[in-house]
Amino acid sequence: MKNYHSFVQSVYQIAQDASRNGIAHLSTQDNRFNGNTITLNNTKSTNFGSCSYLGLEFDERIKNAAIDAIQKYGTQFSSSRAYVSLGLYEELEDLFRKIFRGNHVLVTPTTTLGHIAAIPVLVKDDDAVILDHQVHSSVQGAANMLKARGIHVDMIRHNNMEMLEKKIVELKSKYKNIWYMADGIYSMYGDGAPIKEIHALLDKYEQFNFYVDDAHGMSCFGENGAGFVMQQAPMHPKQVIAISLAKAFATGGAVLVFPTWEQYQLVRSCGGPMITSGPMQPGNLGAAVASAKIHLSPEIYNLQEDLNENIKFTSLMLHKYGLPVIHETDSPVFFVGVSLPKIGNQIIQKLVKQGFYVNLGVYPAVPLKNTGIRFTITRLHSFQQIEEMVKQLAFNFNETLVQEDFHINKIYNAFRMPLPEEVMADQKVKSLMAKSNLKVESYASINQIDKDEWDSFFKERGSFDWDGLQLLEQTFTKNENPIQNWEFDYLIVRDEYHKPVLATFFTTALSKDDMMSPSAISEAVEEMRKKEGETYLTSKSVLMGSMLTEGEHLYIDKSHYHWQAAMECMFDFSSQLLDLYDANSIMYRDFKNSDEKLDKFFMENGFIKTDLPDCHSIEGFSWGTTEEWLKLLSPKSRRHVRGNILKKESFYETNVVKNATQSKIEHWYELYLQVKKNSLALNTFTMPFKLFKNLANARNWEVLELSLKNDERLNKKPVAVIFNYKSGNSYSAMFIGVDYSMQADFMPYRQALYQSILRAKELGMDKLNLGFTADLEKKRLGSISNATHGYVQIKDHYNLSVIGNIAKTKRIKKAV
Amino acid sequence: MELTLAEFACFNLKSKQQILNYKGNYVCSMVLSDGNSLMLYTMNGNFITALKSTKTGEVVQIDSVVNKDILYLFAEKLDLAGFVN
Repeated sequence: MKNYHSFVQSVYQIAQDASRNGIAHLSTQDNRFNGNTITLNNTKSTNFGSCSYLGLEFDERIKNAAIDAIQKYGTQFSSSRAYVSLGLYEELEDLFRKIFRGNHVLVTPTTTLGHIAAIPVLVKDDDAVILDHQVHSSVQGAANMLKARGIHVDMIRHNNMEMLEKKIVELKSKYKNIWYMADGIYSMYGDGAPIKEIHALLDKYEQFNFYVDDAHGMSCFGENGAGFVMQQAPMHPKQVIAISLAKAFATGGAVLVFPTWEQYQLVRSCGGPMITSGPMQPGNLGAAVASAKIHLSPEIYNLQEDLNENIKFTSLMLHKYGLPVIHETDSPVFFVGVSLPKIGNQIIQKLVKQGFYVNLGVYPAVPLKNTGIRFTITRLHSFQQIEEMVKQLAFNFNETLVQEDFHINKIYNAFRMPLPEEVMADQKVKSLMAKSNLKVESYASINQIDKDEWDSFFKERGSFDWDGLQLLEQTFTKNENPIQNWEFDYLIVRDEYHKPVLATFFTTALSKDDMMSPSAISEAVEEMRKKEGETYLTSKSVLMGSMLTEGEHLYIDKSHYHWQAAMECMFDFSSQLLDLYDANSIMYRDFKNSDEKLDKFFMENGFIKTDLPDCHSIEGFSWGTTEEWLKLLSPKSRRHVRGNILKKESFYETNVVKNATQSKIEHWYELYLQVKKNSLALNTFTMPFKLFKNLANARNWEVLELSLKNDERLNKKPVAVIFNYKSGNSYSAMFIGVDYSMQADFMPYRQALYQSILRAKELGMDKLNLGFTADLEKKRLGSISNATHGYVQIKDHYNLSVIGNIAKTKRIKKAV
Repeated sequence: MELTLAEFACFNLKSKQQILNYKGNYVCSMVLSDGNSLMLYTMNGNFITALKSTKTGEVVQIDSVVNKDILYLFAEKLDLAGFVN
């Protein structure tokens, strides 16, 4: 839930920024609308944000029909449709039956309520659901309700038919029916679902069914404006369509289209909102009847053609002005990629001031790095309005990229689009001309960096001083198993006087995408990995620091005039690594204090703030005796330490082991594997034996080995081992191994932590770092828990969505 | 932004008229023998004609490739025959 809070915070910050910049949460200032202009912030603007694609909201017949219905039936008819419906409903549903070629139709107050009415009723307990990754959130919301009933909900990559078929084959033996849920036209990028291919799968697999939300396709496409889905292929007997009347249809409301009378009856009688929610009101119903009549007349084709001409002209203009359009389609929804929110914010601010209102397509509707300018075209736009807007958009786009020193190739990369040749040539010239006062130094190994300088940045921060990193490099390179190989990259940014402004390092490695998920989710994912292979739901990640280091990995001189520019150099560097290693994400991590300025800075550069597990440390070792130390603990912790740790202390013998034998190290490794097997709180790949071998012989590492004095077992092997790193006055407990068969009688885990405290004291350390997880155990020993956060940028969210699905299912099952 | 003739040709009559109205330069018009009028425009260095029905007052045809003879007639009307060869 902690990360859900982070999610809300991120969305809140984006919304607040957009609102402050005058591009969101706006209100029109017009007393009356006249065509497609609206007044915002005292500026008359052409509205390029309307989904009323056919401009029917100003049609006199529809307006008069609404007025007439209100005059006849009042402003509302307040009764559930389960009891009684206004007669206009019957008239409207008759007209829709004609529009949808005799299929069964049910009018609902909104598309969202339509999904909530239909999906839980249509999908049975022994069915499974597959969601398209980009299906509208209202469909996802309704599908999430199914999880409470234990229904299997899966996900496929956007429009990936190969993956869909694989899932159908996989699920058909386990479930009665398989439902695929998708959009007809997708609301952000405006691309369409491959309806013909989906129908081919419906024909091929008997158990396969299709539920499609065609909100943005209704009226604009198809015979009698029946929508994009119906335009692509006739109604399939295993297909349910949901359409919106609040877009091109221009009246409010929604319609569900069923192939069978039974399905219609079931949803009409049992769909939640059909029983408990209010109906569409007379004004909307009257308007909808009038609009439906227009749809049933030849006039609809003229309206569609007008819109189509505008779409064609817009595509042509966007192409001519060289803007990066994501998905060139025939739909009225356009998305020009800008990649970063700060670029999008600035372009839209300029456009709004120039009198063009467009939308910012931003997180959570799209990944933060895939921010863009989303705009819609309606029949009411003139070519001149369209060209003027595109011309200004192109001007603002180019101007903002120059102002922000942001290369257009980054936008093409973010959207995985090939770079147009002319842009490539232009970029080459620009990069040759680019000059900066900052000097970026990058290194592929710590051996290339001066030891004293590196240690001056990171000494005492954790196990990533020069020696610590050398050991990691030796361990995680040149291994036979590619999973155990990491890429190491070091960055130092200096000013013109050679003074370091920023330093850090990155490791790029394959990591488990559920690494930060709660144990229960990782448990479920690990079960799936047994079947799908160990790299299932894993991806390469560019990580500030490494999976084995903890602490402040960023050295930044914030007093330096160019610190922000240095940070931007770091962002560029990590983006280059992302491309170089074909990784999926970048994570900047272990930031301890909340810093609004830094949050904003990261967010503007396409990073989302995310909470990380708390990290623990003990500071201050000025106490003399154990009793003095105990006095520093709470009474409850004191009781715990006395009863569970000090009482057992006399059974143990603790040694600092040097020059360990191979068999000893092998035993330590076995102890480590026992802990690893029992802990999924921070789910990583199992560390290689080579690591422990290297640790045992490293200068700055200490191995504390705990044995039982009167061990009655035959082998008498040590029962716990803890690997600690010494860096200046800081001592870090990094790995632990425990014989769990001794846990009940001797509690070796707790004893090992306690012995580390004693050792840190003995060595005269100021600080003991205890790492992540096992919060309660560490707090009882007087550790301070430090809330940490990171900033993450993800190219492809698919794996995380799949894990999110598992998480929702787990949470719901737990709640039930 | 200029449109090529091929791009212009992709649009329907109503759209072509719209484009002509804000991108084209009206040159002159003449009445044909059937009473309809033919208007001459230039756009992006090309000649374009629009045929207007006298009965309805609406443009019924727009051609981006102009017949040479028609061009001569316009040239004569403008007293520019010497320039058209």
